[in-house]
Amino acid sequence: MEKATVVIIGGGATGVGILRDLAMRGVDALLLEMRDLVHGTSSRYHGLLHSGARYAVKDSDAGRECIEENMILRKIGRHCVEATEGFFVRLPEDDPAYEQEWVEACKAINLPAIQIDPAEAWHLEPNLTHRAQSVYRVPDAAIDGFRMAWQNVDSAKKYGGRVKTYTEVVKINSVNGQVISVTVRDFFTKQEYDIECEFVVNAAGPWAGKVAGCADLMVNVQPDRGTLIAFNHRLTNRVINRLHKSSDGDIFVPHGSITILGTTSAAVQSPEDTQPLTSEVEYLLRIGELTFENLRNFRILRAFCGARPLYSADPNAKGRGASRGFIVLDHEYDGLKGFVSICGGKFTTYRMMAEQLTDLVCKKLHNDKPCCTAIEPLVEDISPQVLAKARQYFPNFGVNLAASRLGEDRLKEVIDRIAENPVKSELVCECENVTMAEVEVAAEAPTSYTLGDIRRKTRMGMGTCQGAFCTFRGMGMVAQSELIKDQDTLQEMKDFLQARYKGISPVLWGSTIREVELMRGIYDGVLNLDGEIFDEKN
Amino acid sequence: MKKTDMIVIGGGVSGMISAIAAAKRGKKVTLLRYGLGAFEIGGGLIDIMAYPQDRKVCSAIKYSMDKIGEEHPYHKLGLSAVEEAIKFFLELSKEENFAYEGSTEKLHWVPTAVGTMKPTGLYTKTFNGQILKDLDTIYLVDFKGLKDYYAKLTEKNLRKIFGEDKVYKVVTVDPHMEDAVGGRDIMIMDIARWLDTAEGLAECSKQLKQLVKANAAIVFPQVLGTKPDYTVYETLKAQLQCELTETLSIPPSAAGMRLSEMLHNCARKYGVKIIENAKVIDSIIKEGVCEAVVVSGVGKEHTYYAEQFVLATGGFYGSGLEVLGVKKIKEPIFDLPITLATNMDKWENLEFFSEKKQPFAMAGIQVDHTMRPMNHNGDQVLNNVFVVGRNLSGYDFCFEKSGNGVALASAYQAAASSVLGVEQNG
Repeated sequence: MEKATVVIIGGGATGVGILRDLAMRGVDALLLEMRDLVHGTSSRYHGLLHSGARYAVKDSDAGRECIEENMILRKIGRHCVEATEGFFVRLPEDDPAYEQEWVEACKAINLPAIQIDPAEAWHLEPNLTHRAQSVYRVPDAAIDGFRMAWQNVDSAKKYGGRVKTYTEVVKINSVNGQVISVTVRDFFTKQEYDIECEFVVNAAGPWAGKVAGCADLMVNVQPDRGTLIAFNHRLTNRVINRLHKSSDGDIFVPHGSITILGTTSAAVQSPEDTQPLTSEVEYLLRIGELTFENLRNFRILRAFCGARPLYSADPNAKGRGASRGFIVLDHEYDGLKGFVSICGGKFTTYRMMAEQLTDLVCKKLHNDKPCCTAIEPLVEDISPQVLAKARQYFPNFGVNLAASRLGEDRLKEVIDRIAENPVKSELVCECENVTMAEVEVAAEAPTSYTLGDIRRKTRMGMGTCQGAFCTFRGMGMVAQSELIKDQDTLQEMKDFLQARYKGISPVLWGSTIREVELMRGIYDGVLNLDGEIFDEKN
Repeated sequence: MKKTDMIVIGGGVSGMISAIAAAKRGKKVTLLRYGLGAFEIGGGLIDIMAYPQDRKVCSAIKYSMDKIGEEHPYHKLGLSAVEEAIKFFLELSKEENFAYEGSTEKLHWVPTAVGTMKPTGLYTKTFNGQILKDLDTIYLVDFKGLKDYYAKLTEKNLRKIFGEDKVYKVVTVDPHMEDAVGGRDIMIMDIARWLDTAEGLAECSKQLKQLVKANAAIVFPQVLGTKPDYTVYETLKAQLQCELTETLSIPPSAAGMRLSEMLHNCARKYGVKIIENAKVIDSIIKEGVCEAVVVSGVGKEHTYYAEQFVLATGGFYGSGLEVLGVKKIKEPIFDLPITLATNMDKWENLEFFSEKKQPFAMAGIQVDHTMRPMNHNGDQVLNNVFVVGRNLSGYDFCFEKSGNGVALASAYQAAASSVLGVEQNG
């Protein structure tokens, strides 16, 4: 039977953070994720590395944690962070009294909020409304949730950490009040089997309640749905926040060539409820255009939805009122030894949450090694030699992008493949500059089962065309080289397109609907992917 | 003030056909175009109708007129008008020595690059799915270094349809093209142009003779020339003694270019004046009659006057319809009334490949049987304007596989109506 000292359930930011921390302290740890890494909340948010300014007034502890962790993640995860800085902008409709309170609160947690002349702010951000009353600079930043997670896993693997994706825990087994194993189900084969372990960590985010249920325990996590919009333009170079009591639709975060606007907040029954709605998009646009008046002129790429894991001891507290702080629940108090849950929290503080949880687990395992996750970088910087070689094969602007995305080992692998066969420099995804060699490397990873897995690893299909061309190319490539065994290639393409369309369907206007007519023209009109099959009666 | 008989706005299939058909009836026609229509997407085929209602019923238009719904353009035209338009097109293609085949009675199945089969209406003989059924050996031709073609993907899925009893084999032709394209990717169009040349065709044939045996079916990417003739097809067919078919794939489509060129040649022959790069931005309307359209030019605007106008500017993709928001659509030149699908309480189905037609795809301009635009009360809006092709409401061309068929039939009808003078509706 498979074995691990600690099994971590959940491949989001918290889970991978714990995996890395445990592995670095020499604990034999295995992370189980029911789908692909970061398919849940950790990729379905605005990608803001909080400075803490948003929480300064309401929750100074959270604010302080954010600014501390912000400074740490910039160092250890510099390939995932774009240090854009942020503005807090007060509009005429925002309460001036709050501004004073906010300035004091930032001071109290040592958060540098520097006031600048609104005229200077327009100079720096020409799209910003000219109605701004006051503007402050804060050390907000943009962070890539996908990359952060994989780099945590890469780092953990170096220390012996292990990961299994598409593996869902269905039962946590115990004898005499002590965890002995978990029963898991393979997503593809539906086969169930046991993995022996001494300890189980429940880091399943909004699914934490469900996981606790596998041990017949209750954990009160309320999934809280947040919808966001991705614009196909970098309409701001900085994170832009409204300077008012935190509310919906008041954050803009630039990522590469796009900008994300979020979010909404509504309690939902299930964390799987992630179909964004037109009404939510319209609601966000109405708020967003107060900050960027020409907002509706920018093409929307897609909308998306995630579920925040809001923990509350009181089952009746919901939405923004509930705690965004986090809690570690040791279920020994519920009569089950060897099972802990970590609930709530935010992406920015994932490392610190992981540290506290790992401290607890290590104490129980009588392991006294200190935590080093705040000191050691997630990945080493790419050596100048490899970068120089990469310049021979990648377009110049793409070298740093590819280097950050791939990390040294995979970058080398990609370069070697292109050097060996120049055809592999062919772009599969022209929007995101993803080469054939890169798709190959991503497809060969043991965690790649679907085109979607390759998409998340490479960004193929996440750019302007939203899969109109690269769905065919990506599938063709994978089939041509038989990179993934036993695939229903037609179903794969349909699933891939459906996943793209899910985010596009609520924003069918402007250039977005043009793109959809092209996509439908190709895959339905020309390729007849879902039509009746040619058979005898024809 | 120079005035012509008819101005056609749009150079896609519907625009070209309207212009040719009207010119053949003696009209002096000017065609204003901005872009290439959807030729490079459609694959050079004239889809007429395959899925009238849902994805389960697959039937040619002759047997499915009762299933398509009253708002469908075919319903307004009637089957006989559709048949007449088809006859017109088949004769036209014959005259141009690039004969199409097909009818309203039978679907013709064509293989695609992903190994599915797609039903179409009118086709060139370079697309022939029947040979995959009839012959026991199927070769799939790849070209060394060719982008956007994956023969193994095609093979994998064709096997599921035609069975494992047949012999499938991928063969690769080397076009020795790396230097010729200067380090960039080799595209389908590069191979098609290579086969346009006598040397390229001879080389390809020579290599294939080594690789294939006679009496087999050979599946090609869409590379059998860029010209509207059958030289490449006939030569390879004769020299290899095999049956050939091309596959449909993602843009750009070489077969679409052939259709475009054929229509171009024909339009010129009948004296259609084609003005390229002419983006029509406005119209001048007096008392329910359109007098002229305004074209944005370099530095200034030009005004074109005519007796009659055909609007063939396409749908969302072609920018003939601009979508400002959910259910908020604008036709930008004449500001014509937009009709959404009947009983449409939704704007979109949540499934990309939904079981039913997509509501947003059914939106467009409603016309009477003469192709004149109507308002929501059923009254003609402009009596010297005709609307054709994807601007029309009431059909989902992607779902139905009816795009160029509606374009052809509505365009032919507009030309026919244009010589009958003003006719009041009802």
